[in-house]
Amino acid sequence: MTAWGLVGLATLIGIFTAWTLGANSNSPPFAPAIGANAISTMRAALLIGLLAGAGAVLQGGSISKTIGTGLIDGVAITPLAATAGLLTAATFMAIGIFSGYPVPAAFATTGAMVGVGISLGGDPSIGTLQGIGLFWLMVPPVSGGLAYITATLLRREDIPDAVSIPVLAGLVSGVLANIELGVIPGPPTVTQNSVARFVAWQLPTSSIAGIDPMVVLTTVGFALVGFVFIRRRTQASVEQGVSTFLVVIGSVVAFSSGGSQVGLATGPLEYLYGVELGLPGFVLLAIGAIGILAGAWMGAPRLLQATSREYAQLGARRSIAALVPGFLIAQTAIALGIPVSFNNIIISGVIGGGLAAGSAGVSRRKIGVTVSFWLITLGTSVVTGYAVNTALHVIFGA
Amino acid sequence: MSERGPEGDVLVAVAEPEHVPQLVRTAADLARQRTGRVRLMTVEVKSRDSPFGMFSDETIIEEFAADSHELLDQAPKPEGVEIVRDLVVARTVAKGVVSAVKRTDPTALVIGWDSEPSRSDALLGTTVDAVFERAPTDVYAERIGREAGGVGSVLVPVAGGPHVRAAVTAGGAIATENQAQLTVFSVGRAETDRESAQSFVEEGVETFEGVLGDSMDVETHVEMADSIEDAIVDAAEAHDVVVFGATRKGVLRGRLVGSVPRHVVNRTDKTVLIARGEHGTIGVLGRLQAMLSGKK
Repeated sequence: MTAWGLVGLATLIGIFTAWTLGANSNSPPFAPAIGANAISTMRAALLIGLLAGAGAVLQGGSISKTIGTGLIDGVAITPLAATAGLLTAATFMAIGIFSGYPVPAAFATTGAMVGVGISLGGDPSIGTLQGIGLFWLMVPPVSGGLAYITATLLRREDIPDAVSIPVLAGLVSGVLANIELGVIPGPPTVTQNSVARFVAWQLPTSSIAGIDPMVVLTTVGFALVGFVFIRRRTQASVEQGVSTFLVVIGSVVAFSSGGSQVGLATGPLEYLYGVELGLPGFVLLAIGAIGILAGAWMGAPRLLQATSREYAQLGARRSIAALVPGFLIAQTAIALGIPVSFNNIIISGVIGGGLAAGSAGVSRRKIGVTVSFWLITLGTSVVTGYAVNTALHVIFGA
Repeated sequence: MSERGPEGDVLVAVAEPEHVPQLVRTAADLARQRTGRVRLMTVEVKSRDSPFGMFSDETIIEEFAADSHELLDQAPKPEGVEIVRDLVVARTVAKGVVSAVKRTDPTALVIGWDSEPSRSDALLGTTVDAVFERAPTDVYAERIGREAGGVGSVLVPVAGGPHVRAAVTAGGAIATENQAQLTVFSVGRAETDRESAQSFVEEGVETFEGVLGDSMDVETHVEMADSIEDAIVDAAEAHDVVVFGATRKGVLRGRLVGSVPRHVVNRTDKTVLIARGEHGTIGVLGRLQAMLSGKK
C-alpha cells in the first residue's frame, strides 16, 4: 500500500469514527428541550450538527493533541499506527452500538492509542495518564455532586424559579466568557484565547493579586447578560423561561460535546497531519467536524425521539441539573486537554439529580454492570491496540 | 403480576398503539379456546448506555414508562376474555418478550411483525427472529397492518414438520371464533407428490381434531402445481387469513421460516400468521451453527 493510500485509509476511518461520535454522543443535550416542547426534533438535530461541528473546529484541538501526542513518549504515531489505533477504537464503538453494551468512546480511543504507542516501543506518559485517570475517577462524584446541588437549588421552595434559573444562566454565561476558542485572536504566545482574556489583552490594566480586573469585569458582564435575559423570560412566564434555558443550555452543551469528542477521532491523525503533511491544526479538526456534523444530522433525530420522552418524564428541573455539570465538566476537560466520555458525565448527572429528590431509585446491579463494561473497555482496548498495531506492521512489513 | 392460569394465558406483545387492536383480536381468538385470559405486555426498553438504564426496574416502571402505561391502558377489551397487563423492563424488545414468556409460561405468544424489515438479512425482523429462536412456547407472528375486516375463511397450507400443530391450532381457533371456514391445504409439485401432499393434509386434519375435537368441519384441498408459491398465492385469494407453519426444524437450514412463506407473504395482501411450535426453539449450538454457515 502506498503512503497516500494509507493516509486516505486512516482519514476515512477517522471520519467514520467522527460520524459515529456525532450520531451517538452529541445528541443527548437537546433531548430535555425536545421533551419540554421547547424545540422540534428536526430543528434540534440541525442545531446539534452545526453546534457540535463548530465546537469541534473551535475547541477540539487540545484533546486531539493529547490523544495524538500526549499519551506516549518517545515515538511518533505513524500513519500505519494511526490506522491501527483508529481501527481498534472504531471497532470498539461499533461493538458497543450493535450489542447495546456501554462502550465509552473516550476509554476505547485512549486505551487503543496507549496500546499502539507501547507496541511502537514508546513509553506511556505516566504524568498525563495519571491526570486522565484521576479526572475519570472524579467525573461521577463531581458531576453527580454538581447535579445534586443544582437540583436542590431548583427544588427549594423559598427560592423562586425566577431567581434560581436566571442565576444558573448567569453562571453558564460567565463560564462562556472564559472558554478558549480557536478563532479569538490573542497575544502571539497563545494559540487559543477566551473572550475575557481577549478583552483584557485589548485593554491592559494592572492586575490585582494576580487577577486581571478586565477578565473579571468581562466575566461579570457576560453573567449579567445571561441572568437578565433569562430573568426577563422567567418573569414573563416561568415555563417560557425554563424552555428558553433548556434550549440555551442544550446549545452550549452540544457545542462543548463537539469540542470534547472530535479529538477522539482526529487525535490519532495529529502527527500525520500536523508534522508529516505539515497542515495547520484546523484542517484536521474541520475533517472531524464534518464527520460529526454528518453523523449528528443522520443519527440525532432517531436518538432524540427515543430519549426526549424519558427526559420529559425526568422533568425540566432535573434535566437542567444534569446538563449544567455536563457543560462545566466538558469545558474543564477541554481546558485541560483530557478526553472524556460525555455519556459518563450525563449518567452521573441524572443520578445525582435524582438523589436530590430523595431517592435516586437506581439499581446497584445495573450500575455495577455498566462500570464493569467501562473498565473492560479500557483494559481490552489497550491490549487490542497493541495487537492490531503489531499485526498491521507484520502484514505491511513496516 | 398474577400467576399462570390452569392452562396458561395467551401472551400478546405490543409496541405500537396502532397495531394493538389487531394483535389483541388474534390473541383473544386464541384465548377463548383456552383459559380465556390474555396477558397484554409491552417492553420498556432501557439500554445499558442510557442514563435511564441505571434506574431499578421498579423506578423505571413508576417514573419513566408513561408511554408504555398509556399503551397498555388504551388497549381494547375484547368480549369474553379477561385482560391482564404486564410491563417489562429490558435492554431490547426481544429480551423482554422472551423473559416474560419464561416467567409467565403462556400457552401461546402473539407478536406483530412488519413485512418490510429494515434489516434485509433478517427473516422477519430482528425482534421476531430472536423471539422465534428463543421463546419456549407456541409463537404466532402476525403481519401488522393487513388486517382482515371480517373473517369468513382461514387457509392453513401444510407440508408436514413440527409446526403444523401450532398452525392448525391457531387457524382452527380463529375460524371457530369467527364462525369461518377452515381449509387445510397442500400442494404437490408433480403427480408423484400427490400422495405425500394428501398425507400432509390428513395429518393436519388429525392434528386439528386432536386439539379442537370435531367442533367444526374442516375442508381439505390438495393441488398439483409446478410452483408451490404460485399455488398458495392463488389459493390465498379466496380466504381472509393465511396461517403458515414455520419451516421444518431450523437447525440444519439455519433459519426457521421457510422460503415458501417468506415469498408468499410478499405477494398477498391477506392477513398472514406464521406459527412456530413450542419445541421449535433453536439452542445455542444451533444459533452458532447458523451464524457460522452465514445464513443468519
